[in-house]
Amino acid sequence: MGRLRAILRRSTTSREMPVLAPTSAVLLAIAVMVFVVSCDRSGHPDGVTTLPSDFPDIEVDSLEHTSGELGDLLEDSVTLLMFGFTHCADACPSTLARIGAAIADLSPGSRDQVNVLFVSVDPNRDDVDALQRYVSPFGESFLGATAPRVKLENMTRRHGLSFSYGDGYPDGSYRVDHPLSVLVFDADGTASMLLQPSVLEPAAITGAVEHLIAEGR
Amino acid sequence: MKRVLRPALTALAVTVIALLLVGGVTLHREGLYALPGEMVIVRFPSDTPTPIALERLADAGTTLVSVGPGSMAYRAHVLDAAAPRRLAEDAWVFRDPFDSLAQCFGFGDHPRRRIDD
Repeated sequence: MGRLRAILRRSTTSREMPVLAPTSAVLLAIAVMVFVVSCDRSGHPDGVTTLPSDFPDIEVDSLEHTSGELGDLLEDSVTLLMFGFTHCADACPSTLARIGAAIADLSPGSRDQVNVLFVSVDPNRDDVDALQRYVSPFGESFLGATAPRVKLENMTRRHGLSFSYGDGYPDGSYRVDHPLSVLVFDADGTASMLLQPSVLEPAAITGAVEHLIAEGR
Repeated sequence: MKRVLRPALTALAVTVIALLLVGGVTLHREGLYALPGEMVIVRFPSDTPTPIALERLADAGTTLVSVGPGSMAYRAHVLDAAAPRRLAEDAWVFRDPFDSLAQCFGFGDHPRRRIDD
């Protein structure tokens, strides 16, 4: 008993404290760093970012589409804009499928007020007819469009996005690196949100879009 | 008690500051050498207009993922290995620690897979 008391007394002497302090400081510092890193996510689920008011608006004049003026089709509707290409192995179809599921879950009144614009950054292989055939199965509100490369570069650059072409494969195909962020514009064409569908459940996308439509009413 | 607490708190404060400093420098150095598919945080000077910052991101060879943390900061995927050093000419570039942690622990998205189709 006397020995135990001596150990306890020794462990709480001032000589031991400077040894313990750095250890607890390290733990606290790690906790602080993790907190700093994980905070400031703007109260949104991961994958949804509200854009600043001076973020550039949507501009579709340079895009080619199968029918009609794209500007007219998108007028007064919330537009989800994404970039990809039809030869994309998995990222584009899975993103389109998630967005399609999210839109299908919108209330009928809201569903009519949303369009999804899929812009191909591979105009050499994707013509407008092929694009429309590619996106149609994902929903009625899906529109396919493309433009010459220079115009696409201007369009993506305007929103901080970029794409590039990788080395060719023996079969003549080539890799395309493209953004998977989805820009969401409100009915006035103002940029509102940036979505990362790859980390979002369709329900989160539905919620974000529904919220935006409700705000515009 | 005071005699014990003061050095302990001083040691704590010094350690926290030192760790934050080392962490910041490490993330900055890591950011400069981020590879295609990795995520960086780019912080522009506060007087940079958003459209100019966005164009700089794209021109350098990155693609925007989200805005923030904080004002004039952007999270972006690196498409071109030289992009971080290009951006470092007029912005602070850091490796995104959250992205690194997420991949360390096996959750989160895998940007390398996401952009290589």
